[in-house]
Amino acid sequence: MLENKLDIILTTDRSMMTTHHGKEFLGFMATGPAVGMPERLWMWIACPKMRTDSAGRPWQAPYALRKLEALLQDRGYNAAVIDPDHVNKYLADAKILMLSHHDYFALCPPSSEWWVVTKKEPVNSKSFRSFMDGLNLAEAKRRGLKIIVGGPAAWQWLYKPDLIERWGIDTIVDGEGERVVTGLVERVYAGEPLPRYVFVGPSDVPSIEEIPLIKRPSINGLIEIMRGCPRGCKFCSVTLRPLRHIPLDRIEKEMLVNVEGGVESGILHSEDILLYGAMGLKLNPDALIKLHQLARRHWKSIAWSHASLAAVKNAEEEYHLISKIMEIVKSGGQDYLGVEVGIETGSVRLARKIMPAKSAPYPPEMWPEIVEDAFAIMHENNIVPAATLILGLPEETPDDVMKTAELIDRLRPYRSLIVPMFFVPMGILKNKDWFTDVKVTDEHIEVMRRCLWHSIYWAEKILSEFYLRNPKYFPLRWMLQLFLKYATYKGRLIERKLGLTPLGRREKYGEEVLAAAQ
Amino acid sequence: MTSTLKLLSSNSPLSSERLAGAGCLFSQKFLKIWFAGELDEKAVEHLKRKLGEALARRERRILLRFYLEEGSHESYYDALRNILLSNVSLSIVVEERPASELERDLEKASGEEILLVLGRGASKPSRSAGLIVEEVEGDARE
Repeated sequence: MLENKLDIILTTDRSMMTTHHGKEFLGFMATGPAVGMPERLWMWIACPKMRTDSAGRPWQAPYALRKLEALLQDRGYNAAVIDPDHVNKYLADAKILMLSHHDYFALCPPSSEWWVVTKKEPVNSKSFRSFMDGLNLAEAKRRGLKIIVGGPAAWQWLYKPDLIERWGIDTIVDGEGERVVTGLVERVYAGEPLPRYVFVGPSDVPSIEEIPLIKRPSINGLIEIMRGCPRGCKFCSVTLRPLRHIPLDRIEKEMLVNVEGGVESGILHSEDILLYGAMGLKLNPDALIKLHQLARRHWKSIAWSHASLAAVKNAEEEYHLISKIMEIVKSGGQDYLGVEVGIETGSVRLARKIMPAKSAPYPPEMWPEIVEDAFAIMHENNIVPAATLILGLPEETPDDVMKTAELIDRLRPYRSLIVPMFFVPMGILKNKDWFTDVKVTDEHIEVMRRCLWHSIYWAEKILSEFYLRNPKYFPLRWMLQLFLKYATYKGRLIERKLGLTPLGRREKYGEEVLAAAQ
Repeated sequence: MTSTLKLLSSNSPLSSERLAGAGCLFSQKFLKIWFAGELDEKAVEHLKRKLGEALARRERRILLRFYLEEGSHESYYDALRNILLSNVSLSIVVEERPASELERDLEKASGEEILLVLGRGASKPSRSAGLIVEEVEGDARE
């Protein structure tokens, strides 16, 4: 198919084109700088190189790139996803280079948060810059190569006019690309000028039938089961897009593409897995059971990308659905399931203001209780959440932040990782040094150190009891355990420096966890 | 699976209306706004107001075309960001052309409905059918 030539190259840098050793949570490390170890080693842990064929096509590739690849191939274009190490050999003949990324310049959380805390540039941004600088772009641009960039971080280019110039970026596509990309490609083939920027509004997102099915494996078997979210949280852009549920037959076809390509486990992707097939926010147990039965039938292990805490509580309390789903999951020999969840805040006042529907079907006044109940349900069912919360939300008061700190204390008995993230309003980004301008208050520090000790305590257990149990992961586990020891040492040091009463004795924290659990 | 599929299609807010309008974004109808002159703070506010008005009129898509003088790069992106990141509802396509091509493009587009916004330093073009000209608070040159 490739014939040593490609008209359209789809690619991204190593921080995205990697399997993270088949452990998606390790991808979090790709959003930070190397801490306590050489960058090369950090990159090996977080973003090992991808296996490729002789043409440089990666075994697995980011799902968004796979979708575009399918779309373009369906329209008859000579297009393929290429591993970043092999892009140069196709540049001489290519008409278009298409790039996608979750966080080109480390401006999104959690990269921005790592940057604030460590004052060091995260590896994802460094990796992307070094990838771009390593391409033979000058000659290709002289010959007429067009560069189109997109993905969820497309907006970041608007803050980087110097890099738009330096690398000759032609078009930025912000939003779902199915109705845009072929139009752009046609313009390139016709020699017509390209627009500088395209924002795809809610009216122009594709229908289910317009979303192509991937033709080759996606990273860690990730498959989209829904697009959009009905919860309407003010800090989130996904919620602005119409909700679309992908039918089971289409999901199954993509599962089979992965399995036949040798990716035997998978991640169900949605902003809220438990809303699959839902009528608005009313859960649909039948659809969820069928979805998990399907996944069980084809996959060795199942993971969820995201779930909302209100849905976890509602699913279990009203339908015993979490237990039922976990029965299905465990029937294949798998004994835990990973997922990302959003706590965001422990303050009812803020919850009411910025995410009034996140607690639905419960009122926002119940938010802290919902979080705690959902954590308890997940703990009992061996669902391991990586939770995020947001610091510095607009109109946040010290009291709001302390409410979050109190909530984290109440979550101690529950197996989980909790990662604080700074809210970065667009206005602040106008200043190019925005990341040094974030005001970290005493209350923020209280939340951050609680998250640190909570996560260190539970990470050790999760690594050894669940996540990296297989002997093939022992070297990786050992290195991560070393990293946790280093983080413990640094955490204690910082607490001493700030004159804080230590929360950070791991043994002590463990005792407190046990006491809280009793 | 049948029941789920049935439910999914009846639940989809996209089904009928969306499929009727399916296709390439660029082949859809756009409200065309062209801008010439200096893209200063007043001009940015003016264009943001235009986007707001378009949204209120239930427009769905805007084509913003900027006629640029050479060397205005960094400030242009500052302004562009300010305009674009305030929007979440409209589809927006941004095109750029050299300022010297404005008259020629107006001639070519004669008969098309275009709102031409003139910022500081921009000259008023010769009128053509379908063209509506607005100035950013009287900034345009006679």
